[in-house]
Amino acid sequence: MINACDRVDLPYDGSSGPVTGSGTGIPRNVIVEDFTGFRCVNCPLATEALEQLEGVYGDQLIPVGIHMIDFFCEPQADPEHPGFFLTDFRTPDGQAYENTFEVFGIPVGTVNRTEDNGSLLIGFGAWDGKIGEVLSTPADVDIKIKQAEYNAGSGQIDVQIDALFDNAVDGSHNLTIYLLEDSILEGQYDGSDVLENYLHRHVFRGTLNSTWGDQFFTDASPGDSLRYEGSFSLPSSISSAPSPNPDIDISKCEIVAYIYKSGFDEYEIIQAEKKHVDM
Amino acid sequence: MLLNQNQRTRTLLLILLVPFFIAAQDNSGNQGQISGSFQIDSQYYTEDTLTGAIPPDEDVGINAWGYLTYTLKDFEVGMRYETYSPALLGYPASTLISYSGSGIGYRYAKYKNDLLDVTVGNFYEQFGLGMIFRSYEERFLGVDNAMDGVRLRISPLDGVYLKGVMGKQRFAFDNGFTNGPGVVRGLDAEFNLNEMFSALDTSKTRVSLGASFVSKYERDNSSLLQLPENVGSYGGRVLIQRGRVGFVTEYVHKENDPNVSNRDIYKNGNALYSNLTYSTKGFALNLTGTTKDNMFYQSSRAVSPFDLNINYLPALTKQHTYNLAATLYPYATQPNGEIGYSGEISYKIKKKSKAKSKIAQLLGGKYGTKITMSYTQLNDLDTTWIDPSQSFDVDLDPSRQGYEVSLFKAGDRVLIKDFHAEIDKKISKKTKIKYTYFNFVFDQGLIQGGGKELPTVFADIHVAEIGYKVKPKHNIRIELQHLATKQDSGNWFTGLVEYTVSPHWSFSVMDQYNYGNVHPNAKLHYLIGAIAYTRNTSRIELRGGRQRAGIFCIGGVCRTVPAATGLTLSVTTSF
Repeated sequence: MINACDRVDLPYDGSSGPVTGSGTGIPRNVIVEDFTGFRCVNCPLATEALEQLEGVYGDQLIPVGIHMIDFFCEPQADPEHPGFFLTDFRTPDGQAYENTFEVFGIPVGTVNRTEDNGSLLIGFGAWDGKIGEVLSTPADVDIKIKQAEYNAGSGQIDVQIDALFDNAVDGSHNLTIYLLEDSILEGQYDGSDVLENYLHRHVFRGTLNSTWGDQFFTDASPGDSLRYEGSFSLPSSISSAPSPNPDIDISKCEIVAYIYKSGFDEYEIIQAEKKHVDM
Repeated sequence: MLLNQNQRTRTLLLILLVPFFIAAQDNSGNQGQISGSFQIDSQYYTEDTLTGAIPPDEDVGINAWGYLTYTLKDFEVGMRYETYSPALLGYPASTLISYSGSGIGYRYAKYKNDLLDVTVGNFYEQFGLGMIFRSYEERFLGVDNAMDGVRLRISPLDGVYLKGVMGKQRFAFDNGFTNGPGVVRGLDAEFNLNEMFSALDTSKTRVSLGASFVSKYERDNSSLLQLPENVGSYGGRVLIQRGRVGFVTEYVHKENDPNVSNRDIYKNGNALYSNLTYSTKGFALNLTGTTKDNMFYQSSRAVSPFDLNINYLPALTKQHTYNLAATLYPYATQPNGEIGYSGEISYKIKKKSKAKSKIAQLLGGKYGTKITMSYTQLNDLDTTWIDPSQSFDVDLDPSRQGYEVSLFKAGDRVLIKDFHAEIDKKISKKTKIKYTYFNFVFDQGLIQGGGKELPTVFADIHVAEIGYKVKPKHNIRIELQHLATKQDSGNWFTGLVEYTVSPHWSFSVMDQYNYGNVHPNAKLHYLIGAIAYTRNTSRIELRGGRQRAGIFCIGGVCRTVPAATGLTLSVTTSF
């Protein structure tokens, strides 16, 4: 008992760290949904933590910044910061996630929508450990985004996704496609500071195929391959004006496709992939 | 056979309930005793376009608790059954977890004799003032960090009280409670010198000394930092009572504990709390001082400030009860750093006072007058970040200490100033009046997390209250409250009328009116009416109306409490 204190003098000097990757099988990717808002003073801490973790987990980590809770992200002119805090990063899809996952406070997030101590919402301090845990087992299915191309003529994004199964996957599963816009300069509260040109990374702008995606398969067997394709309009919260679209910079957009278990009250993501949108 | 959490809970419940059915009687025919209490809070929600209140899909929320204990001589078992179907909006306090379903929320078995007291299962416990260990339930707020494990209390010698605890803490509720990931272990010793030494037995000065040690364990699963898996804390306390004077002080120290609330710094934490009281007939004085730095102490590094707290930091500010003073700008203790003091004085001017002052004679009158005043001020600590950019540059701060601070030096930032003065007078056989003035300076930016762009709120509140005995058993009470501020949502008025027919009935109507809001759409009335019926230990209350949305923050996390409009039924009973 008296020895029950660990003194760490050099915290950066090595870490016991999580076990990641099994070396065999399909590498798993993990989506971290960072529920955030530009008027949330503590949210940059979570985003910074996520950026640090990108350095550890590389492309296997897919960060998504979803702005939610009106109090923290409702656009409102601020006389002291003219021209800032006017972008509406809220989306109907994000609002649906806010309601479904009962998000009352931020920053908080999900890690592949897996539970941690019985909770789907995970504080950012626990993301690291949870990501390590999720990545420690190979995936049953591989996803390849073959095509993610913006068609200026139709104003739609053409998408083609292939899924190849290594193992059997039971139950009903959906496939959802997110549209993200990366590196947007907007205001951000940060502790006791208000930053005007904060770089908002991987901002969720909506889904391409509805909030909860499309039903993709029920019960897949090893060796099965499935294709999902279509041309999708931009999310309804974004105008479909021709380029340059005042609402979105397509050249900075990326799509994230993920498969999740879609039974009653089930949301766990079993595999995900990200691709930059070609113009 | 491997059992999951729910199966384990059900199995334990069966074991616990066995005495009720087959062994509720010992050899001498003593049948033991069952006692219990029940509470049901149910709310029906409706949409309110003016406040933005949105009902949940289920339209109705319900929180219910039933608590039963069975005692047979030295043996006791107990359990609490809980239902959240679904939980009321904004419940529990945590921003991370939810409560859902029905199941066992608390269960224990306890045996006690002259030497020891042992508990297995859930228990609430506190060491000293609780600054390194307090396991407790604050049901109204939705905070419950009950321990689940074992507790031993031993008193081997007169005046020597030893406690040992080990277990996990309650975290969420999903058809039964679930525990957090960390393990908490603790020892506490208290020595009552007057009981220990016969020479001091009759001394007017009563002295107790105490010491505690607590440690938590949580696995290091970080890929970025080497985290301490065992985090210890310890402290000592002194309690002295001599006649009308009482003094208590406690100092605690916590070893390196990087966590989400302190930005993963490896600095030690410290806290000191001292309280001096003096009371005599008609006069009471209470002085308190505190300082604390880096004292979030939770059995998980990455939960919200509402979850899995191992310790409890006593609040310095007075808990006001009048609506406007209590609900608009409540102060939340800042575990990451605050220093301050508070004083409260109350004096009763005797009836028929013979003091020379005419005012005193007037206040004394036929029934006397009670005057109470209090003042609290808390500042941040004078803190210097080692790496001014606070970006945790490895070269600048390789040991990740974060900042340098003096525990006894206040910073420039005033977190709260809270002054209140109250005069309470019975003016006739049937009439009592009370007038209260409050003055707040409230750092809304820091306390409610809005950043420095939110101005400090300066608020004046006046409350006039009158109680009148209409006829035997019939009383009416009226409160008129006014809050004036140029900041935040501007001026408020609250009016309350309560009519009581003792001992059974109570009727009340309250209206909060935000008439000073600069936004015309927000100049709203929040009207609530309530009827309550009480008989013996049972109470039924029905209230309906509009509750305003709020935001409250602890440490680094803010949560919104949604607006709600509808009907609430509350039932409590005990036996």
